[in-house]
Amino acid sequence: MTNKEPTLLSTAGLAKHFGGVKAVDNISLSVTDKSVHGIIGPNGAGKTTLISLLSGGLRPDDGSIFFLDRDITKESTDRRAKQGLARSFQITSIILPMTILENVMLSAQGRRKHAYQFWHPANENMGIKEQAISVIEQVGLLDKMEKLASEISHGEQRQLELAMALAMQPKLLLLDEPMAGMGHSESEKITKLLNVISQDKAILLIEHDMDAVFQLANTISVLVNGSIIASDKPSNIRTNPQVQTAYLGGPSS
Amino acid sequence: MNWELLIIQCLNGLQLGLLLFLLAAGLTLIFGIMDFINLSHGAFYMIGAYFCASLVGLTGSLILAVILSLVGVLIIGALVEAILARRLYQNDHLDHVLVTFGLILCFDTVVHFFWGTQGMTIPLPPTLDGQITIGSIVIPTYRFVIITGGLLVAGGLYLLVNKTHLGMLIRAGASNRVMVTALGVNIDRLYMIVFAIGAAMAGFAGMLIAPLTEASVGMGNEIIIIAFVVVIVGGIGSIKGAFFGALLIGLIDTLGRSYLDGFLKLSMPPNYAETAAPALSAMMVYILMAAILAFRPRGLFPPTHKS
Amino acid sequence: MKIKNSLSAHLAKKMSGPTIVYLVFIVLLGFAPSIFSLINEPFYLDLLSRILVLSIAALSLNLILGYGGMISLGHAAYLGIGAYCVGIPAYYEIYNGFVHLALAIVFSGLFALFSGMVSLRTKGVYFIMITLAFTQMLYFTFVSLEEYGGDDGLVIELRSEFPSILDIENNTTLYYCIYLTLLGSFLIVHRIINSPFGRVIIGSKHNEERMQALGYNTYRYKLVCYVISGVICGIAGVFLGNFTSFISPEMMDWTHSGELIFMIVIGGVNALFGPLIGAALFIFFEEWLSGITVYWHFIFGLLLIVLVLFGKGGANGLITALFKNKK
Repeated sequence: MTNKEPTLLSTAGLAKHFGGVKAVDNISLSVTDKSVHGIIGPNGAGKTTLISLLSGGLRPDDGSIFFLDRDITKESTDRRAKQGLARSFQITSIILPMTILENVMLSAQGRRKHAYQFWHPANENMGIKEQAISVIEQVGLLDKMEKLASEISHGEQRQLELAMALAMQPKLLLLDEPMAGMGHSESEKITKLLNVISQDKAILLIEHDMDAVFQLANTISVLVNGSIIASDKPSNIRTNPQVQTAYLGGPSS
Repeated sequence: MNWELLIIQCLNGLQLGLLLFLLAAGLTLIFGIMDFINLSHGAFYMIGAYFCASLVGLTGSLILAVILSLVGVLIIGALVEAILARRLYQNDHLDHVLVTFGLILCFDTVVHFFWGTQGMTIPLPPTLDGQITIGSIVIPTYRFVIITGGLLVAGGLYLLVNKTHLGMLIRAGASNRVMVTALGVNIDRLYMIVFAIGAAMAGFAGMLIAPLTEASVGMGNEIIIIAFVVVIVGGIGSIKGAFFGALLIGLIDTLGRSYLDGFLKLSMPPNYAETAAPALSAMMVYILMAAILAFRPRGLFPPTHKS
Repeated sequence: MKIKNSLSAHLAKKMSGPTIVYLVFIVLLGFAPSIFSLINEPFYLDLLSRILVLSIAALSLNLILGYGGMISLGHAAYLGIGAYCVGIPAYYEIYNGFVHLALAIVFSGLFALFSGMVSLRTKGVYFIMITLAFTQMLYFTFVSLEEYGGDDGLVIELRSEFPSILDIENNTTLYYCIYLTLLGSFLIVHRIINSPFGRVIIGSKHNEERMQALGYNTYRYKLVCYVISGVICGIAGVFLGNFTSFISPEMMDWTHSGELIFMIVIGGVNALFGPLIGAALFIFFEEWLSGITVYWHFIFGLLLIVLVLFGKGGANGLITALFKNKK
């Protein structure tokens, strides 16, 4: 699966400490276009911290981040998002008092230049609306579109969470456990969807559902105690003895 | 430079600072531990002054009056906590602002009802009403009483917070609320104690100031805003911050009012300086707050580990 | 005929029961001067003018507080700025109302921009206290301006002049000016909260982190909203100055900012017409209770406490609930 696609995102020596704890320690990784880079690791390994560093929610103590060959280490979250870096949240982060459609429209609008439009009703912005509806259809929420985000089930909120990241039409998706809290069938549906999406987008995927990760990823990095202990093709990761001891809990089939 | 005047002004600043500390200490703890904005904290200041003024008349003893008033304010503080504040800790800040704003209206009216609109003064016994002369400096004795009283309470609070079990819980609560709850402490009682102690300190400040300015309706509404500035400048939840913040604000306010005029005249025409100085000196504490927050968004001495 | 049909169909589709109640109320306000002169109670017009001015102020505050979640405890500053933009020019015998309005818009806008730039960097308690602090600074500035009366304030001898257009020395004309400004403000706020910009503001109130992750510089959006709100309130201040004909720094006292919040809460936070209902109830209770007892503040305070503890949604919540029960 090694491809000749350009590198979209790369980090060099990225580090973040909380007090004395090294949450992320000297991480260098890269994500190439039209591929899925999976990150796995036990709880507390620093996966969410890594996503926050990449998306701009946290500032690194050391190291740098490059996106599209530009150093974005010091740029704010919204600037990164505007350049095509979208994230989803592990803990569902949606606007509860708005409908699904309104939520997704907000994110479809976000990557546009600005939303300093004070007069025309947001709901009548047809271009944005169509774009939002097509994403809602993709994640399978079309029939619930007009429902408030606070009224839908937890699994559906997870689908909405993903839809909001997708609707930004990003170049790179940072997905923090998109399948967490979904039922099996939904999870399978989303796996298929991500597979389609990765044909023309890059995805950095953190996920506990091992089946999904091994099915989707072109490269998998294993994060333990803030450091990457292995980074390789899925088939090699599966058999890597170091990974098995550290993460998968000893050699197994 | 007139050194005698400077020393006197510094003592004035210290006096204001210590009064502010008495108010801010309770506020910052209530803020830090319960995450509760109490705009009506100034009411305890007013009630303390009125209680004391009335009780001096009834008992004829200043000391007895102070002790009884302290107990009175303590009880009122505990009641406000138990009846009202407790229901609101989980609500958002807007609710705190509204309810305590309502409380101010209620307390002011109740005081108005019982004591009328006329201010009340606390007569000082002759021993405290004199003056002390050190070299060429003449200072009213009562000024020393306020400063000593303020320092004693500050010292007592320091011992309470740093050397007792209750203090340990208070410190833990101010820096990490979740942890204290997890320790299985009777959190309701802790909250009530903190609230009542805070109220009593504010009441004590009111008693200290009343002989100088007299007790009046709404007397707490102005100074409570400055006390809030102290809390923010010092860092929410930090007693140390409240102490140094209060002294800083007290000194800056007092010295600004007396020296800014002359200072500005160095750089601008006197008539402009005379217009600008009073405005600027009244604004100085707010400017200081904005400046400090611009560089240290959590104040000068934020408690460690805020979760 | 066809147009009318589609319009009524449009109205029926879009409007809920409460909205119709509010609109009827607003239309009635338009006839108020005639009604009051019929029953020969000119004082009521005075009262109503005050209600409408404060409605504009509360409406502007609701834009940032209710929809944007920015709890400002310093909004009375803009009423003061607007009023002084009438008073100070009048002191120099400049009575042109357009000048007054222009000054009010510029200065309230600048004050909002400057104070917003600092305060919007903070959150929660800090934001509340900084907005308060800025208003205190302004308060003390005007106290120290001896030239313009300092603490004692200024008397405005003549109202703003709009030569050959309007004469607002006439109370009814002034009332209609305020009324139309209120309608305009309602329209503006209504459009804003439903626009893409408004969505960003509402989204930021509920989930700022997500909004940033979606590519919105929430700080800047909030700042723009803060300035719009300040300017609307500054215009209300111009009317307040004209209406009371006496202005003083006391108008900017923090307790008045508290009262504006009070009005919003009585009316119902997050309800477009809440501020109008709230201001009306506030002034009504004030007039009524202060006529009964000097201790009316106590009842006010109690009302506020009870409202927060038990009456979420304010008057709007009540009206909405009534309509729900009918169905």
